[in-house]
Amino acid sequence: MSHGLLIAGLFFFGGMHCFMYFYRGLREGLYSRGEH
Amino acid sequence: MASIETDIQGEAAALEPTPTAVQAAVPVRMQYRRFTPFQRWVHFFIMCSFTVLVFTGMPLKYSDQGWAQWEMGLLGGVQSAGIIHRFAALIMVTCVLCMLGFLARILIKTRGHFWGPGTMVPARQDLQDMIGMFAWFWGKGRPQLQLDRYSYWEKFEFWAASAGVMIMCVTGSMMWYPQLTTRIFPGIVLNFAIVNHSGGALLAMGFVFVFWHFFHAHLRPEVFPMDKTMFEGGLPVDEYAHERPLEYERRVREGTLRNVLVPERSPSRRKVENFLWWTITGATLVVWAAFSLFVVWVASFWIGSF
Repeated sequence: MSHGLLIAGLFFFGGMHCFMYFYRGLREGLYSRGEH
Repeated sequence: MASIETDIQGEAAALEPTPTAVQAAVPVRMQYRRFTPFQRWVHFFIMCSFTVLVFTGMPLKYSDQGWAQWEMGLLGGVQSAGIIHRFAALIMVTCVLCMLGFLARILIKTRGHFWGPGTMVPARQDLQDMIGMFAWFWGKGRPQLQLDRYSYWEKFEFWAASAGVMIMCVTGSMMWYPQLTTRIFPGIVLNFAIVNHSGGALLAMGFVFVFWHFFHAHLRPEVFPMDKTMFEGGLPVDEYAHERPLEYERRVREGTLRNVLVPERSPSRRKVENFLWWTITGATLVVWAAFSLFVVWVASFWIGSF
C-alpha cells in the first residue's frame, strides 16, 4: 500500500513536471528556436 | 553556443561579473568544469550497472510472463542472470562506497559544514524556483531561474536516488546472504527485503528512464537532445553563467572562478566525443523506448489486476 502510494505520488509529481515542462517548451517554441 | 576565451591569469576578468568581460587576450580557450573525472566515471559505472541490474532483475519479478521467460533464456537461464545481476550489483555498491568516501571528504574539508550555497542541500531558493516553474507550467510568465550549482530537480533526483540505492543495497545484500540475515533478524525480513527490492527497482526504473532523469538530461528545451556536461565534464563559460547565475556570481565575488576553469578540448577530440555522445544518445533512446513500453505494460498489468 505504502509502495503504491509512493510510486503513484512520484509518478504524478514527476510526470506532471516533465510533461508540463515539455508542453510549455513546445508551445513557446523553445525547441525550434534553437535556445538549446 | 560557442565558448568564450578567458584569461585565468587576469585578476580584472575574475572581478567582473559578466561572462563577456571574462574574455581576455591569452590564446587559451577555457571552459567551466562542472564535474570532475571521478564524478563522471562514477556516473558512467552507475549508468551501466543500473541498466544491467534492471535487465537481469525484472524477468524475475515477472517470471510468469512470456517475455520474462524469453529474456531469461536470452541471458542463459536464471543462474547465469543471477551471476550477471550480482556482478553489476558489486559495481553499483563500489560506486556507492566511492560516493560515500567523496561525501566523507567533503565533511572533513568543510569541518561538517556540508550545507549552504553550491551544495546538494535544498535551500529556500529551490522552493522559489520550483514555484516559479509550476506557475509557468500553468500559464504565468517564464521565470528567470536563479540556479546555483545544482537545480531543484537535480537535488530532488540526487536525494531520491541516494535513498533508493541504499534501500536496494541493503535489501539486495539480505537476499544475497539469507542465512546470515536470518541469523541476525527474524525470517520475515526476507519477505520485506524481496518486496522492497523489487518494488524499489520498478520505481527506480520509472524514475530514471521515464519521468525524471531521462527527461531532464535529454528532453528539456535547454539541453535537447542531450546534456553532455556529465560526459564532457564542462560547458562554455557564457553558457554556464546563463544557466547557473548564482554560482557564477558567487565564484566571481569570491574570486574562485579560475579554480573551475579548464582548457577546452582540441577539435579532434571533440569530433571523437561527438561521435560517442550521439552513439550514447541513440543507445539511450532505444533503452528508454524499451523501458517506457515496459512501464506501460506494468501499468496495464496493475490496472488489469484490480
